Amino acid sequence: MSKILKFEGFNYLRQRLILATLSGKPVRIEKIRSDDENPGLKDFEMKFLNLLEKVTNGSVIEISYTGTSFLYRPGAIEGGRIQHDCGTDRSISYFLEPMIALAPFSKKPFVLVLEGITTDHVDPSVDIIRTVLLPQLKRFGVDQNLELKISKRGAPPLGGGEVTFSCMPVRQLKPVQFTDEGRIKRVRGIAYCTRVSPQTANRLVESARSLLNRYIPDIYIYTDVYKGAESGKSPGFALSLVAESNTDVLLSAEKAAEPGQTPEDVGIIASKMLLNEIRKGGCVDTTSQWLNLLLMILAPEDVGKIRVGELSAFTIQYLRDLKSFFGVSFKIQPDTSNDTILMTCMGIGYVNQNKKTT
Amino acid sequence: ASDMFASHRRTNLMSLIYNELDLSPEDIVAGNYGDDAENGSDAEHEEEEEFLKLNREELNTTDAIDSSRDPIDAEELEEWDDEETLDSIRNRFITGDINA
Repeated sequence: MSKILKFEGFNYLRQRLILATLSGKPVRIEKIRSDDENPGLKDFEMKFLNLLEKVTNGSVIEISYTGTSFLYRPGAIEGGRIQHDCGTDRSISYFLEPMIALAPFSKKPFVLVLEGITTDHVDPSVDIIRTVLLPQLKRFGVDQNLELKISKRGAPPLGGGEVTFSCMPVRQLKPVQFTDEGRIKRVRGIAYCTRVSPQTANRLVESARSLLNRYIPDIYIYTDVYKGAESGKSPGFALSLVAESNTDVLLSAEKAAEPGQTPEDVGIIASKMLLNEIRKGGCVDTTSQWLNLLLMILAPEDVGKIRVGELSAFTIQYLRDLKSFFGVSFKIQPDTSNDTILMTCMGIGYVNQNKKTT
Repeated sequence: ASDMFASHRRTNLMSLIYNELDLSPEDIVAGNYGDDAENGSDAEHEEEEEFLKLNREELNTTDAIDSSRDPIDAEELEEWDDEETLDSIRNRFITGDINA
C-alpha cells in the first residue's frame, strides 16, 4: 500500500480527489472547516464524494465523526451510465469539470446525466465546458463520442437543468505542443435565457456587439431561448463568449446575471472579461489551464509544451498538487516578448490498462 | 519600472511555486511575497508580514470558493472603459495591424 498523502483544508478538494483517483494514491484530508461555525464537509462536497463513489469501483471513503477529516482510498475508474443529482448549492460544472478529467481513463464509456444548475456566476457554465474544455480534450486525442448535451437549463437558485456528458475512454493520450497563439479571427457566443422575456437574449447580444464589433466583424452569438419544461425552475440569463484564433486557440469568458443586473450590464461585463482574457494571451484560457496541465502530465513520455497567459491562484495550487501526486514539476519559462508563460513538462506515459490496444 | 518588476516576478515564478510552499497561491498571484525588503526598513517589513499573516487567516476562515474560474476583478474591468486600453489589444486580432 502506498503512502497516504495528507492535505489540509476544504479548498481544492475536488482536484485532490481526482488526482488521487488517477494516480491510485490514497489521501487523507484534514481540518475541513475545523474552526468554522459549521464545521466539516458541506452538502455539495458530500454530493461530490457520492458521485466519485458512483463512477469508481472499490473506492473507500471513511469520514470522521465530526466530518472535519476523511480518508479516501481510490478504486478503479469504472464509468458506465450514471445519473446524479447535483443539488442547488453548486452548479453542475462543479461536478462535471473533474469528471472530464476522469472519463478518458475509465473502463466503460462514460454516460453521465447530471441534474442541477447549469450556469451560475461561480463556476464555469456548461456552455464553456462544451465549447472550450471538450475541444481541448480532443487535442489530446480524446475524440470518440465526446459530447455534452444540454437538455434542460436550470438557473440558480432552484436549478432544474439537465445535461448528459458522454465520452469514450482511450488507452493513451497524445502529446501536445501548443505555443502559437495566432490572432483572433472570430468570436462566438451563446446568450441563453429562461423564464424571462425572449427579448433578453437579443439585448445580451446587442450589448456585447457594441463593445466587440470595433475589433472584428465576425461575431456570431447564438440566442438560446428555452421554453416550458426545458427552462428549469428559476428565471435567469447569461452570456458566454469564446474568441477563436487562426491557430485554434479558444479563449472564453462569461457572465451570468446576478439579481438586479440588466442584460446590458451582463453583456458588457462578459465582453470586458473576454477582452481581459485576450490581453492575458496564451494558448489556453484561465478556466482550462488546469485541464491542459493535467493532460500534459498524463501524456506519453515526450515533451509537452503549452503557452499560457497569467497563472491563476487555482492553477498554482494545481501545479503543487500535481507535483505531490505525480512527482512531476513543470518548467515555467516566462516569455517577456509578449508577457506569457511557457509551460514545459515530460509526460509520465499514463496508460489506461482497461483498454486494449487496437 | 513596472516592466522590471514584472520580469523579476516572472523569473522567480518556478521557485515560488515549487519551493516556497508557505506562500499561498493567492499571494503569489497578487505579488505579495517577501522580496520587497530592499525598499523599506525592517520595521516596515515586519509590519507588512504581520499584515500578510492576518490576511492569510482571513482567507482560511472565510468561505474561499473552490472554483477554476477566477473571481471577477472589478478594477480590471473598469480599465476597459478607457479607449487606450481598448486599442492596446487591437493587434491580437487578425483585423488589426500586426506591427502595432
